[in-house]
Parts: sequence; C-alpha cells; structure tokens
Amino acid sequence: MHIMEGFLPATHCVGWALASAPFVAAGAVRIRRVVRQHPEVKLLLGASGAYVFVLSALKLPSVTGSCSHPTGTGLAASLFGPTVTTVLSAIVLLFQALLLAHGGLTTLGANIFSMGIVGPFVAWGLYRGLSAAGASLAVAIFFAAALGDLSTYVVTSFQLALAFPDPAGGVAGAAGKFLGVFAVTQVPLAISEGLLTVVVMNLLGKYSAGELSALSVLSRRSA
Amino acid sequence: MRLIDRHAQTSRYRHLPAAEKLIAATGAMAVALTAESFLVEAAVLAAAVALLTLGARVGPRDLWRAARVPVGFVLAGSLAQATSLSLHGGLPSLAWPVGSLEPAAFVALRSLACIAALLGLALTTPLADLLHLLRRGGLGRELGDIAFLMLRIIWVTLDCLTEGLRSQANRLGFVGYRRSLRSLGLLLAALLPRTLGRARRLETGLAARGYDGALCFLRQEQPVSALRLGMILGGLAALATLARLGA
Repeated sequence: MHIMEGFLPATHCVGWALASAPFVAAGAVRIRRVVRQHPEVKLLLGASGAYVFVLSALKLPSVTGSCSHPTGTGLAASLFGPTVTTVLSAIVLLFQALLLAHGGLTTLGANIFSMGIVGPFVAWGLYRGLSAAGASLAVAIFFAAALGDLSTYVVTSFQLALAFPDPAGGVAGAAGKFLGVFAVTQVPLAISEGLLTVVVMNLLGKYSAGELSALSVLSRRSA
Repeated sequence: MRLIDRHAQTSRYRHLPAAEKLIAATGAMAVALTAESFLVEAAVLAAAVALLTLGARVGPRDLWRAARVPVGFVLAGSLAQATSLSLHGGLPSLAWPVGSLEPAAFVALRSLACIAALLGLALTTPLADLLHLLRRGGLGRELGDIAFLMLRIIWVTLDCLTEGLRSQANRLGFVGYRRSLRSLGLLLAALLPRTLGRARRLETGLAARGYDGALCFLRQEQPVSALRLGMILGGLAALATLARLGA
C-alpha cells in the first residue's frame, strides 16, 4: 500500500525521508562492501531487485474475492536479509513511482519507511524468532510474510493519521479510520501473501537449493 | 504495466534533457506542496495536464489509465480524512464534521496536482535517463549499476511472468482460491531460478567483453538549453508568486 504523490504535507515528506535515510545508507554501505569483495554479486542483486519488482506487480487473489498486489517484503527479507531488502525496496519504490505512478517522489521516504524498513525487519525478526522457538519452516514463513505485509499497512495508516489527525479522536481516531478503510482489502491480502510465500519457499527449498545457496551470500553478509 | 514506459520512449519530449524535465516536475511538486490556495493547486494541475495532452500528445484515455490507481487512493484517503470517528455509546460511528470537507478537498487537489507533475516526468522521460542523472548526481557506481541492471532485467522477467500466467490460465490454473495460490506459488518459484540464471548468463557475456565492473549505456539526449531552462524556471517562479499572493 503506497502513499500517493502529494498526499502528505511537505514537513512530513521531509521527516520520513530523514527517518529512512540512515537505514538506506547503512544498506547501501553494506552492499558496496559486498560488491567490492565479490563483483559477481552485483548482477545477482540486479536480478533479485527485478524479481522483487515483478513480485510486487503480481495480482494476488484475496479471500474476499477481490485481488490486489503483495508487498513481497516477507519473501524478499527471507531470501536476501532485511538490509539488502531495504535498498532493493527503495529502488523498487522509485521504479514503481516512475513506471507505474504508484507511490511518488515526495512520498518516497514515507513509503520506504513502511515497505522497505518496517515490513522487512518485522518479517525477518518473526522468521528468525519463530525458527529459533522451534516453529516449523511453514509456520515461521507464513507469520513472517503475513505480519510483514500487515505491519506495512499499519505503519502506512499511522503515517496518514499523523498527517491528518481526526478533529475529535486525534491521531488515534484518525488511525482507526485509515485502518478501517484499508483493512477490507489488506487483512485478507496479508493472509494470501503469507500462504503464497509458504508455497514459494517450499518449492524453492525442494527444487532450487542451488539458487538459495547463492542468495545466502547476500543475506549472510548483509543481514 | 508498460503504458508509461511506452509513452516515455516515444514521447515528443523524449530527447529533451532529463535534468530539465526533472527540474520542471519537482519544482511543480514543491510549489503544489507549499501552496495554500486552491487556485495554485488547480493551476499546477492544469499546466501539467496541458503539457502532457497538448505538448507531449498523450491521449486523454492513456492519461486516465496511468492516473486511475493513484486517483483511487487519493479519493479513498480523502474520504477517510473528511469523516470523523466517534465512539459515543461504545460503538464506533462515522460522522461528517462541519468544515472537514474543505481541507480534505484541498489535500485531494494538491495530490492530483503532484500526480499530474509526476506523470509529466514519467510519461516523457525514460527511466534510464533519470538513472543516468542520479548516477551523475552522486548515487554511486555500485547502486547505479544495480538499478540499471534491475531496469534491464525487469522487462524480460515480466515477459516470463505474463507467458506463465497465460499458460496457467489456459490450463484452468486460476479456478478457485486454493488453485490460484498454488499456481502463483509455482510460477514465482520457477521465476526466481530463471531470473538468477539470466543474471549469470549476463555476467558470462560481460566477462567475455572485458567487464571491469563499470556498465556503459548509450544515451540519446540533447544538451541542456539555457532558453528552455529559463522558461521552466520562469514558469515555476510565476506559480510560486501566485502561491505567495494567494497565501
């Protein structure tokens, strides 16, 4: 769920850009270090970024009967690690703004914060935490992908609520409104994304062990 | 998916310098974001739409197709902004507070003006030109190269995806929710090794051509014109003056 161009006030655009900048810079520094040590990783990262873009362009069926687009943060964080995902998400969000008019340039910082930082870190944390607690791979992946998607949507709603507080209910009241408006599509979508990510990871584990091993270079070095 | 890129590659303004178009678009967005009057927002919206339809000759139908998703979000967001949540009696209820419609309409108009400015850039400038500009502006060679590679691989990966979706649809792969999820899962799982395999073949091809870590691309762009730049800055200054007078 992207915040569209011009929807946030100028001060909020600057604030969210400043909040996102350190995470993107840290990811960029790590990527630069890995690429200098292993130049072949550059092509792998380019291909991975293209995969994340295509993943986010896929229409996903929702249990309500409608369809929408997945964020791909759960799958990307599981495959590439959260810091690499932050940088790839920043580039993907820039591409989505300029190739699809989804999101925007002024709202890029806010969108990176919700989809490129909070979503991947929540997904990665849940994946690692649940795996460490003894949950099966399918359970860990499902909750990582579903709650990674849901956290993106919750953060976006709070970003909108901070920008447009409700005259009566304040920021909390506005957050309730925005969560309510977008919950109709986002909650079923998060469940669908969780299920889809489990299917993809199961198949990748079964048939693409070589590719997963190549990608582990990225996640191990940059997580 | 390809509508905006197709227009960007074939636009009448395709060969104008990306820097000039970026200044015009971001300048218009800055004016729209800082202005406090409906008139200025409407002026930015009208100027961007006029440049796109009359100057760049983007058809109204294509313009609407490019803008309909962001416009839908803006309408949904503005509706939420215009209403108020009340918890009187324990049950949540929505109300239309007096005076809430005007600020919501203003945000909607501001957002539409900014979306039009963004489309003014996106529908006339290929993304590769903007990436060149970003790389010159300090994006860094590694990140610049990764972004370029992503852009090159995206279209072939999308072709694979489209063909896969068509094949699965022809085999009734999207009949029912469970089967749809399984079909998409199979497709995505098959797409990842294909995409990585393509990257490996690209690496081999580049290595055979003496790849030293720097990727070079051809560009077809006119040099920056002082006259055009002056006209852009003049137009932005006029809009900024209008914004100051309106405030």
